[in-house]
Amino acid sequence: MSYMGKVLRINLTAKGVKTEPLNEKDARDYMGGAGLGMKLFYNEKIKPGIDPFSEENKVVMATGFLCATTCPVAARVACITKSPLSFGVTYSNVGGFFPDEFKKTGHDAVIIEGKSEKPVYVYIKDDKVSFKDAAPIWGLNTADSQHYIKEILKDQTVRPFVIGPAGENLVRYGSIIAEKRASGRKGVGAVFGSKNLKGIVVKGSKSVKYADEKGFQEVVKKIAKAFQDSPTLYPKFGNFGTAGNVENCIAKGQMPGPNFIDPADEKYLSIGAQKNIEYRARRYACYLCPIRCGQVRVVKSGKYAGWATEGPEFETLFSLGSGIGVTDPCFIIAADRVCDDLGMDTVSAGVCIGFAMELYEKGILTKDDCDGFDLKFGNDDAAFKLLYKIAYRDGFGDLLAEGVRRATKRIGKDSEKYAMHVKGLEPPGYDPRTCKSMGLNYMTSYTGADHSRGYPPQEIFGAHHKVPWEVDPYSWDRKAELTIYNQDVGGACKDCSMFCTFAYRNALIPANLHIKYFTELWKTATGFDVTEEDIPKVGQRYNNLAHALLLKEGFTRKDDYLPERLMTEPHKIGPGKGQVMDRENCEKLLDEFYTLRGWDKNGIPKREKLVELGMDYVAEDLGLKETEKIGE
Amino acid sequence: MVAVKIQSMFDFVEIFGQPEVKIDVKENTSIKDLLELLINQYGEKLKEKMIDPKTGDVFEHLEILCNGRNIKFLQGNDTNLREGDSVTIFVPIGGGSL
Repeated sequence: MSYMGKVLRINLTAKGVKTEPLNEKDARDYMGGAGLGMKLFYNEKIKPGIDPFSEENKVVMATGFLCATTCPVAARVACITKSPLSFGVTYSNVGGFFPDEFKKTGHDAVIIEGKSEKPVYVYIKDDKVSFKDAAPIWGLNTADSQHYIKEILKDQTVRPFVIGPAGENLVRYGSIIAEKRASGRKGVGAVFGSKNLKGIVVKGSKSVKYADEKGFQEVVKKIAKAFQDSPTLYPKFGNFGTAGNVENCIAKGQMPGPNFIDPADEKYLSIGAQKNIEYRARRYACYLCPIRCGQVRVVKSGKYAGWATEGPEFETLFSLGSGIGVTDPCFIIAADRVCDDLGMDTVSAGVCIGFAMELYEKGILTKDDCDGFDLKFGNDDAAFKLLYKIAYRDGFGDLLAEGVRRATKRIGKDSEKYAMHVKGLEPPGYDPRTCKSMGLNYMTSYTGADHSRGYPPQEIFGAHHKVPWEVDPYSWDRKAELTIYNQDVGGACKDCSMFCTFAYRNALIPANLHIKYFTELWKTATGFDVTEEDIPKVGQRYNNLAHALLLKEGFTRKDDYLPERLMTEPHKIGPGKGQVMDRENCEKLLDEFYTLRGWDKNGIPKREKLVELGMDYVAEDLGLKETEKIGE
Repeated sequence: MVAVKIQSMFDFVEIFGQPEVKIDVKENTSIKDLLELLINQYGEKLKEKMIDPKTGDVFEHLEILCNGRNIKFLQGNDTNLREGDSVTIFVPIGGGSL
């Protein structure tokens, strides 16, 4: 089967290494990637309430059953840990070339535990694991770190996955970088930093085995055909990349303007794909990807001349563009590169700066509070300098390095009203007031305000999305059901198989081929006797397991709400003028969501639901009684 | 007559010559009438991009918005245009970073 059958355990405190067999039932129940990683994380029984930066926190990195096979766009790895932003379990993932190389070392996953006394990086070369002194590269940015690791190891073919100064300095949204690709969000890089772990470096020579190789290759051919048949994937998406979403979302009033006060208007078309293509030097693809959506962009004149980056992606065009009132694409190209080099999430960094700008404009923060910066919306010079101050926790940057939620505790003065976050995670580039399922997803995703879990393509890319049904983004109708569909089915097909979300959205789900093809891939790769009914079940188990971990941490219904602004301030301009996610409708959506999930009105799963999913152990852990026995 | 704006994106810009063109149409012109008018004006190139030869209808993957709202959630092809309306024609592409 296409699992390697082994899980590596690395203890940074004792510099110990163990190899454990992959539990086949876990693989069958949770497929791989985020699902399998979540189960491995759950198995660790980490004590609730621990500080995410403590030695007791762990990081699980898990690939999927498709990684290192011939299936395109599936070479990704999931990183699971307790987030320093949300203080709940979280998940971030990365593509590029690291994941495939990692799996070829002969491991499906790695569990990283403990804390190194001194900075280290871990080199995994097939079965051999060594702890390397990271002192010579500590403090270096992510590009230089990767360069010198290859120099030190005298091997240009190794694949490093490293943090930069932001992760080292425990910026709560530090990321981990492989080449120029980021496991960007939710602070996984800061957890590496807290463990004095500069990175993981891999080199593998092993290959996967298939249960039914001929059958598998037939499905891969069908996937390739679906890519070709997609009216949007080639050449449009490949040519413009994710930046194409700027034009789309501005037209529909879905892209946020400065700190979500109003939607981005037409002046922000200056940061869209049609302008950005003028800066494109070349295109880039992750391992075994025929789409090549990555855009390498270069600034050749003006004050940002000389800066180049692989990106910016759509979310960054929001967070460091419209979200802070900047219309200059050259600034965003430079700022994206700065964040990648510093190893810092562009989304949280941008939203934190947008938050500070609004507080400054409202007089809640003064120039003195902001280290002398005239922090008005649109001040790109100040934003540029702030990125460095955040990464090095210098002065005012130290406050923003905490994320908006924690920053409000220090600022006080009603600043919470302007803090955009759910469960401590800053939102990406979709304004929920004009895409209600995205809003409910922000509310209920275990990760917080996250577009990557439960993304509703039906609301954003509208026209050709009729699966599971056609959706008016402004309507409330069946949005709880739709959100669960995308969290569970999308969760299995993307997060657990680790298939690229863009190919899934552009080619498979619109053609209604996703459940069929992922079932066939899973069956032929692994030999598991699975049916199409297993796909949503994998997603349900994955999301319920993550939810159970949040419950153990003390999360309740009160954590499942949007920021006040999005519930009380309707859009004043744009096509969605008057649209809001008002509290009354949010309550109704939550009630419906919980009921459909098989949870009670407080979000506690019913024992029967967990038993139905084969998750009796979770019911036991949560101390759940059968419904009829409750109250006895 | 009423003045409406046609906004286009990506490959449609090449056909219209610019991202935004203004056009005067008769009162009570519907989206269907407008599309016919545009095809008459811009010819085969536009028709190829817009009309599915298999069905004779507008391609499923094409997004047609009137003032930012997909016409499917208004009155579809029968949506009547009013003075100052903005019609956007494009194929939605994109995604979010991971």
